[in-house]
Amino acid sequence: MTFKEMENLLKLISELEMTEFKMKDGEFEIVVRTKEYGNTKVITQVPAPVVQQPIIAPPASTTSTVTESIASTKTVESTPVKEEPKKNYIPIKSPIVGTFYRSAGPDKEAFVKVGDKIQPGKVVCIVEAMKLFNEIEAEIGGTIVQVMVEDAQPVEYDTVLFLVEP
Amino acid sequence: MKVTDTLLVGKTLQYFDSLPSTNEYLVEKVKTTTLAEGTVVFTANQFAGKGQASNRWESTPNQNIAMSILLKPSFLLANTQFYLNIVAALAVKNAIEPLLKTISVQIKWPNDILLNGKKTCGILIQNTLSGSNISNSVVGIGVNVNQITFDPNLPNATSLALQGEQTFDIEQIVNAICQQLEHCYLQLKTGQQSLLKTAYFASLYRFETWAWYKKTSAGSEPFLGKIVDITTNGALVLALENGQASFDLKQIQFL
Repeated sequence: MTFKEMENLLKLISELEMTEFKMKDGEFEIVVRTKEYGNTKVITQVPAPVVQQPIIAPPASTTSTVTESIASTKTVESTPVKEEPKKNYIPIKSPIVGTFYRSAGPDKEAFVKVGDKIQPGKVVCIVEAMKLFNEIEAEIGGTIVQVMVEDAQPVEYDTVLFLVEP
Repeated sequence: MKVTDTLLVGKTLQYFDSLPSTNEYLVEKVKTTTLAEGTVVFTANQFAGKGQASNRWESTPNQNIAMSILLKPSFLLANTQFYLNIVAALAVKNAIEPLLKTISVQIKWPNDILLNGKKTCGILIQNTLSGSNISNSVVGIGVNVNQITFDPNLPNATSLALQGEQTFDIEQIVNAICQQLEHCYLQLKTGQQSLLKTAYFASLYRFETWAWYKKTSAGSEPFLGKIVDITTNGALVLALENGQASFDLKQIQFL
């Protein structure tokens, strides 16, 4: 993840007023917690074992902790992180306000999971509002790299539901 | 069964003696085949009808209406889709009201139909969204028509026959629903949203009436509220003793 992507991600987390955010992408893992979760906002970046690629975490330690506000991009920029080839993840956003469901029912399999290859038109989730159930179709093809919302959680208009690597 | 006097709704009708769920069938069918807008799926025996969340919609064979209608409201923005609830609820209300002369027919937000305050019809809509565009909308309508005994665990369930004290012709009611749905849907399509909203409020249970409600969150106390509006998203707007608030379906309970 590049600085720019990290900055955008943190801004997004801040805007969405999440109390906790976890992301794992094979190469690294990130956990963001806001004041509502604990007393400080903590950013932890833990690289998973990587065989060939250079790791993107600070070289001195496997964990970096930033205690300032996550909105402070200056703090993030001051952290020494190496540039990685840029990845342009495309978000799938919620077109409506409602409740996010990863499967068609409690006993059904999730429509998609991380690592799944999807084509345009593939149903990725359901967003329900006032007894209107909406199957959300992907408009793009690619690989699901991240599920951004937990099952049965409320979502707003334009909430990012999935990140897709085209 | 045959639907007459419509241009769109019910011109194609698929009849099944028995189906688990007309909505499930139509939602799956439309993924693999091209179906005309207005296609209706009807079954005399729906044995695994879909209710809200994990609820089941119970129905005795050959007594009731279980039907789904395919609409393609690509003209409607996804975030104004609550109008589909308004259209479907008004259609059923308009269809059955003339058959029940002295009985109060009301819509309970968002889309139940009440006879004398008891539920006789449930509506469940399943859309397919591509971006902010609604490509398909499957409108599921279940109406208790001639069934006269209900599970004692469902004290608020009723039927047209129970309230009207006679049996009704199911095909006639299906026709009326199709005709009314077409009428209301075309009103929506031609931009007559305010007309639809006015008609919805005119039939809305507890509209402009003080009544008791309770939030579904734990430890909430009952409170007085008066339905004054619905938001674009379809949330219920209540006037309270000290201001105004809007509620999602999952947040509020009618007492």
